[in-house]
Amino acid sequence: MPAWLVLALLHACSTTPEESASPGGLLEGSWVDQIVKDPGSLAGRITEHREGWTALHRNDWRGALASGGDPAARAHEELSRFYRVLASLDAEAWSRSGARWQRRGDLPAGSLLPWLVGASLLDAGRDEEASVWPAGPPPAPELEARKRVHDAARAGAESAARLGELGWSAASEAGADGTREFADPWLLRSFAHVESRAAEAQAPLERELFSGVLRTPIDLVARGADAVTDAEACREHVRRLDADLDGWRTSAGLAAAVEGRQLLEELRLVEGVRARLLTDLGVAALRAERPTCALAYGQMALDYESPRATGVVNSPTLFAVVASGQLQTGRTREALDAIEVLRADWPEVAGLDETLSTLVVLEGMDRSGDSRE
Amino acid sequence: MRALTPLLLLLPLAAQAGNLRYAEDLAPAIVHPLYGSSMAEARANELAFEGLYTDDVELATTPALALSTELAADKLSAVVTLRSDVAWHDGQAFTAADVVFTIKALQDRATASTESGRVAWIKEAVALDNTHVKLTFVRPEGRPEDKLYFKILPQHAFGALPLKRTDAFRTHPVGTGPWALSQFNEDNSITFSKWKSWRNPVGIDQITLREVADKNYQAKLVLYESLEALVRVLPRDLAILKNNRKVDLYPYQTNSWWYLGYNNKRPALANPAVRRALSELVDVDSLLAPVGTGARITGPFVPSSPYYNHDVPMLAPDADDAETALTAAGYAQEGDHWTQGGKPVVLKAVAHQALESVQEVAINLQSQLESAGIKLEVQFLDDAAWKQRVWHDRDYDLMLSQWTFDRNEDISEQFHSTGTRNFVGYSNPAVDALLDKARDATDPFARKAALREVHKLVAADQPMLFLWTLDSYAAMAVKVRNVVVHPFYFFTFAPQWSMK
Amino acid sequence: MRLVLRALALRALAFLTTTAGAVLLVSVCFALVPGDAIDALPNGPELRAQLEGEWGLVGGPAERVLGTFSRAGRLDFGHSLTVSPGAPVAELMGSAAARSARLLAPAALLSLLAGFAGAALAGAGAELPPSPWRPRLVRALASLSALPAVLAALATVNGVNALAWPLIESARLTRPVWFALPETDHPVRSFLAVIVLTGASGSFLWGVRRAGDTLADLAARPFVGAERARGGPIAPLLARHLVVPAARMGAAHLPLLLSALVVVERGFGMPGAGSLFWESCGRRDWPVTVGLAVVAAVTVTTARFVADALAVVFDPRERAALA
Repeated sequence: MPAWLVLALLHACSTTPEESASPGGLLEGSWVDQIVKDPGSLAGRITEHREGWTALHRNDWRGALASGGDPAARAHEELSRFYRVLASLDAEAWSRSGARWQRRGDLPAGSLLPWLVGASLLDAGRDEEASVWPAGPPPAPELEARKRVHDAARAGAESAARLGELGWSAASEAGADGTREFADPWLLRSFAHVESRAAEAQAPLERELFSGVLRTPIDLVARGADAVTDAEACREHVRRLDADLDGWRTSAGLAAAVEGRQLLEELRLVEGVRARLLTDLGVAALRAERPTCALAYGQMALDYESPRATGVVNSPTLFAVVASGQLQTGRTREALDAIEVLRADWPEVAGLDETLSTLVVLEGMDRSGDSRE
Repeated sequence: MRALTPLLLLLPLAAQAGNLRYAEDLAPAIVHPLYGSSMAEARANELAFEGLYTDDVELATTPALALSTELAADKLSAVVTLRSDVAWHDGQAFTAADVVFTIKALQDRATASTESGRVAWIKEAVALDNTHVKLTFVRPEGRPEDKLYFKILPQHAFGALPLKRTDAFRTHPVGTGPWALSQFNEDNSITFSKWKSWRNPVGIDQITLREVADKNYQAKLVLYESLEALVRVLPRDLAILKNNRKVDLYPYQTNSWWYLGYNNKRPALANPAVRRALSELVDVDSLLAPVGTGARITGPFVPSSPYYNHDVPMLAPDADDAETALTAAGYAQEGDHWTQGGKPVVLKAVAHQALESVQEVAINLQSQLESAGIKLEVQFLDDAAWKQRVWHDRDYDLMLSQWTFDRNEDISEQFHSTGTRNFVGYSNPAVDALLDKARDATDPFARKAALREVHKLVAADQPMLFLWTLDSYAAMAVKVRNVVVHPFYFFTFAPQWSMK
Repeated sequence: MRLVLRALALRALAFLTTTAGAVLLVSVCFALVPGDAIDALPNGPELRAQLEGEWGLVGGPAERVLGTFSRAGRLDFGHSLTVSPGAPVAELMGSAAARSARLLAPAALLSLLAGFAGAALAGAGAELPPSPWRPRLVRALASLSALPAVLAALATVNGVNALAWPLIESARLTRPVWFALPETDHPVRSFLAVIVLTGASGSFLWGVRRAGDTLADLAARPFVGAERARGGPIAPLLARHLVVPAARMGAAHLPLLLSALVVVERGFGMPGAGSLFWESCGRRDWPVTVGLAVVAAVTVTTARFVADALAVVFDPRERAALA
């Protein structure tokens, strides 16, 4: 066999197929490219509901809601997705807590906990898992009352504000060493329903601006052989995307006028679109049950200069993706880090925080400790 | 060409081998699981040695040298079945006798091991045959596997017990881990080579530990591609590394926080109101700003901890309140200075010099307190001097340091009145009772509630000014693939890594 | 003969007192400094009772100092406690000293050459044609020399890397084997370390001044004036008569070089006696520190002895004084 053919075959075997990118790169022809080439066009796009667009750019969805119009519609969509991710995370936390209690074998007799685990799993559509836990009507009056509010909210008869008034704590019971307070297993999914309904009622016209939407859709990469190689495949995907974005930034920067370059830097347009794109991929990875991949996308999207705050780069959904990836890969304690960031601005996350923190304590019990100065 | 073809076929494999170089501030003085005294040594031990159990990538307990454990019905003993396909780095077979030997060596007081506490719960270990060990426990154990992480030593490499630091093993350590220590180099670096008989494929041929004493320089070496891994990135280096496409950052959780401890046994600082007043004179946000990204804390836990009490408010600087409190405590302001009994107040602070950015923080703190009328004299101490002044003599007024906890976050040693690490001399019977309750609790809700109450009480007593927790990241060159980092031991999953 | 023996006895006494002084100084420092080797262990408090006797840390400062002397007197330096636990100190010192010698010897020689060259450029001992650049050059080098060794080492390492990296990244320079400093054991690293050791912390300036005084003194001698009057070559004459002053200068300079060696080896990441001394102090490994102090004292007194011996051989005035 000729040497050149052998070499060519080897080269082909050792490289991965490149993403099919649009000519000129991923951002060519995108809303980012349009703004940089024609800075004046941005003003035209945000003339109406300017404050809302500004808030949307910062991932301040509540601020965007207040302004109405397209920014509010987009904010409803974001919130719907955000709450859906959190609701799945919540169900996973309940599932793992239940499994951990069962393994320990000291689940308190007569506790509400088993029923709540089942309720959470049922609400998440995980019927097979829910079947091992007690089912039936809520075993406590306060749970029954709460469930009615949730049902009403999902049917459109109650608002997000009413859900907010419920608070995170659904029920409590006396334990041998004190009170056990349980989080509401339906709350986050109810918020998702309410936001989804609002998003459907008001479809936005402007879908691209400050989004991760590009001319060429970017799909998840092929799944790796196992969890570790899957994460690596997704990391490699991000590196290829970054190479493309860096190339565009260099060429756009050179070609753009002063105002275009200023917008590029001050609004952090490339960083923002990158983070949104990776967040979208992270959510897709979670849906495809690829948590290590989701975590890879999430961690590579985070802005490490302000890792504890939401902003242009770090959206609330990004933290939710990271938390989900951490939990599903056994890093419950690390998941709390991401949830902690959300807790301050999103009181409805407090229940999830409590469920996760109880799981962390459960997982840590009986392990020998070590502290170092 | 025909002769070359097989070689060409090997090219992709060769591309994945390679030498991974990582940095430590101080190279291990000894690579010996029984005598480890630093995290650098713990990480090195992780490469060359194994325990009966370890963590899997989801941080769940998984067998390593063991295959399974059968617990007796009364939970007072267990039989551990061992792998029969394991060889030591010198080719000898791993057997149950090695496990028994290791446990006895750890338990032997004359061995003077730093890890002896790891087997305090085992009453007896007996080899039933080459692949079975029976362990008898001091108390019933629900899941002994969770405690069988300590590293196993080869009996044949030693003489009789007790072991000594000076044994020949120190220059020729023999383990069963995925890498064998091949050389202590002249420049204090250590080379580990892949152990060809390890039971799973190992993606990296060689790992080199380099001593780079200057922490500021470690990140630069990663940028210069002279290192492939950095265990901990300094907060100030984050910006340059994050923007570099040849480096990936991996955040991990350390449960670590800084504090300014008050010596509660000193008459001047025995009064909680005085301590609180001093705390109110400090602008913690200004101290944190030049150090890096992190979060303020109000008590002895990091904000994401399950035990953190979010209802405890952040202590804000309040010079007026501090003035009132100091005056009520018998201090007087004369000109720009606070005095007591006619003498200017002078406080002596000690700081651990190895703590990164500590000099910056200490100087800023000094400046703040001096502006408020309190003179602060700061001394920077090395490890031995720190232990002498702080641990033994308690010879200081204020101390600037950091605590790091693993996933259990057991703060009893630091805040219980009988705690061996309670260097500030804090004592509150209510806190003692809650810490005891938390330690004994089998209900996670009870443990959470007790420790959150501890947070509240300790924050009120102010035995120390709780400062902040910093974000921790590891940095890896992108040519290192399939990276999963263990939050405490770093290299636990390194066999799966590979180099491009 | 009696006088020779007396001279030798005086030198031996100087040797013993210097060595004893070094051991005393280190022992006292270790006794007084807070913390000891056991404090370097994480569970030191629990192991203290067991290890104190084994590691020779019992008793108060006076007892420890006497114990150190008694061991040093038997040339029993013992084993390392914390730097390389169990390793014989003699073995550690031997290899460290050999590595440091590879820096120290060239640095000592270079500092002599640089000192005399600098002095000559500055016009000491000879009348040179006037030139504006010579004194400027000497002043510039003297200013650089004022930089403390630690800063000079850090600046050299960081500066060289910072200059090289952009060229390597842009592929205008193939990555050199020695890059990045100070990671690789390479002649470039050693060369830069020798330069810093030779010149920093005022070393060059000291050399220039001392050499300048020597050259001026020599130039003022009658036999030099006579040779000049005869029109003969001055340089070979001066060179012959510089052997003894150069040896004495080298011996006097050695303590400066030894102290700078510690920071230069640390700054360049080079293993040797200097970095071993630093590490042993930090880790309170007193056997190693005492051993290194003895080696340093022996080195300095031996250098002085050699200088004195050369003086007796080459300088008739010294022989006359001895007689």
